[in-house]
Amino acid sequence: MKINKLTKAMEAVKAPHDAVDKAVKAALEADKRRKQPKLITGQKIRRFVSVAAACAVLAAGITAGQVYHQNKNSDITGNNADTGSNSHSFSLLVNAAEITEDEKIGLSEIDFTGVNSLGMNAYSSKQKLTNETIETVTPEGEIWNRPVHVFRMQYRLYPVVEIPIVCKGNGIKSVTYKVNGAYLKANRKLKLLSEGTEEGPHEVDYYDLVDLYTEKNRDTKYDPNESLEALMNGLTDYSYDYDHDEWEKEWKLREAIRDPDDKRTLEEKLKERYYYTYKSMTVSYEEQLKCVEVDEKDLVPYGRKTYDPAQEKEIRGSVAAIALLPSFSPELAKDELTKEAQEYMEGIPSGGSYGKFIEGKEHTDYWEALFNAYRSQIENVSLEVTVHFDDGTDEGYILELIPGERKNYSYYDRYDNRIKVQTIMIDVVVRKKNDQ
Amino acid sequence: MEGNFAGKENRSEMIEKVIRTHADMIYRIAYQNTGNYDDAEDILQEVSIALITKNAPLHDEEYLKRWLVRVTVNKCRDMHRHRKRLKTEPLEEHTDKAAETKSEIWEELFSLPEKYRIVLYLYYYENFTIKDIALTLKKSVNTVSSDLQRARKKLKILITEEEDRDENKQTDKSDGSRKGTA
Repeated sequence: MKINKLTKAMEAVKAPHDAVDKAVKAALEADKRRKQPKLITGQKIRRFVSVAAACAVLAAGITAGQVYHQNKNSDITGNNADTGSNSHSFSLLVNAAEITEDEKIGLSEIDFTGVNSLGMNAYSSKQKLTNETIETVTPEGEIWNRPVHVFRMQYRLYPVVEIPIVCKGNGIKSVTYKVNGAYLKANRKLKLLSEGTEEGPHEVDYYDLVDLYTEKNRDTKYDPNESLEALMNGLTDYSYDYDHDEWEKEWKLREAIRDPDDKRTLEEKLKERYYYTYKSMTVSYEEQLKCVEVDEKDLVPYGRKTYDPAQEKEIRGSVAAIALLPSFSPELAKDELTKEAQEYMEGIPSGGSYGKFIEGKEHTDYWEALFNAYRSQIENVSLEVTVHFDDGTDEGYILELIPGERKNYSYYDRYDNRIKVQTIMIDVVVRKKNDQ
Repeated sequence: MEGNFAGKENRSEMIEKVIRTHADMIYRIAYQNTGNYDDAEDILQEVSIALITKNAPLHDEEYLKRWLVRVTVNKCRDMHRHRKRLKTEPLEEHTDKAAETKSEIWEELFSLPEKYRIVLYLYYYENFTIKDIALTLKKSVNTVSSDLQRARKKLKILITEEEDRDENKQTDKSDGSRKGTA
């Protein structure tokens, strides 16, 4: 080691003993969990039970509609939802939606830190949607004559809309996730000014319109504080898989976009992004922890941490539609924002966080513009989930996103700072593919 | 490289040994990246778990060290990315621990971009060659060289003063020995 002031300063920094002990303990526990994936205790059991109960009801509910439609058979067997086929059983759990025969739709009482690994999608822990509400959000009437289910979720005005999905049952070979109706509006201004960092307030993020991923880390630690933050912050900012070069590619892309000498169009630049081109992905149970093929490209599925243990024969996936936002840069947004909104943007020193408020002022126009941008992006997106069974049969479901009203929401972070956010309600209509 | 982890130890002992051996390195990388002791501790823990969940190459010492550096750097990036979305106020400044070691040198170091800091650390402290650094960080050798050069320029005083003195001592010694033999 070369001796100089620098290395001396570095030498002075040492991992505290208790931190090392904790790290060792965490690693050994992770190793133990890995060997015994079913071993869950204490709080996890309670959480898991509540999650499982919610999921079971949903599974029964979705299957109920399905059976009702297909076989006119209302024999629902609770947790083990059976489609009527002898060769396989199957349930599709879509987030926290609860659909039962008696009470057609609603949201289950969820464990906020448990089942919803992406937050902002819990409308309210016990609130039920009424039939009246359903009628207002479905595109056509008479929805109960076909297996259509609707549930409502709440998202932060944030360029990620994610629908966590769990496919579960026997005889499942693989699941294909696909996004329909999503497109890249390359002629739109794609810049989104971030909240600003220590390195510089004007860092710009770019987002794909569509992104898909599966969860890879199935047995990571559970930390309520971290998970709460993760809940509030969407999927793209948390726990990337480091086994691939995504980060490098992303940074290269950002540099290319900001490089004044690079004369390519923005669309051309964006096409270089690692996972830009694909719109569908098939994941099998065995492959969940391996690489999967996506449109002939090798892709290591990336994801965030999971907070509850994955169960046997369960294929998890999340379909994420990432809405591109129009620019809210003062220079670029002149044709999209009103004068008041532009002034508001210019008045934000960090360069345009949509999570900030200027004290004592209401900036309705700004929020309205952002909200409308979301609406226009989301209303074109639908998600398709196809379950492939070992016996060669398939079952497909369409999840249609319908943007709803705007709402305020606030929460406290770990330092007790009150964070105010604007959210959008999104209704998800689930229907069987063949019944469209 | 430290320690041989490919012996007959059982797995738990091996994991513990790997973590204890490399904890300081991980912690330093995390600290010089995040500038925050609490974050560095979190990252140490995350990396330790990743050893298990990501099938770290426990038996390949040389690769393991590079792997740990890379994982640590990426975990730090994850954290930065996470933080961008949620404004938080680190409490570290109020702790005694921070006051003890947050010297002027660190302040100067933190004034550098992160990519320079990690290169400096690996080169000067961990004795990585430029080629090793390039391999670890998945950058080209040229990029690493230029990063290192720029970082050196900015921190010239810090990294030359005692090094020169050290070299001078060695020169004196060798001169003396030459004189002796003459």
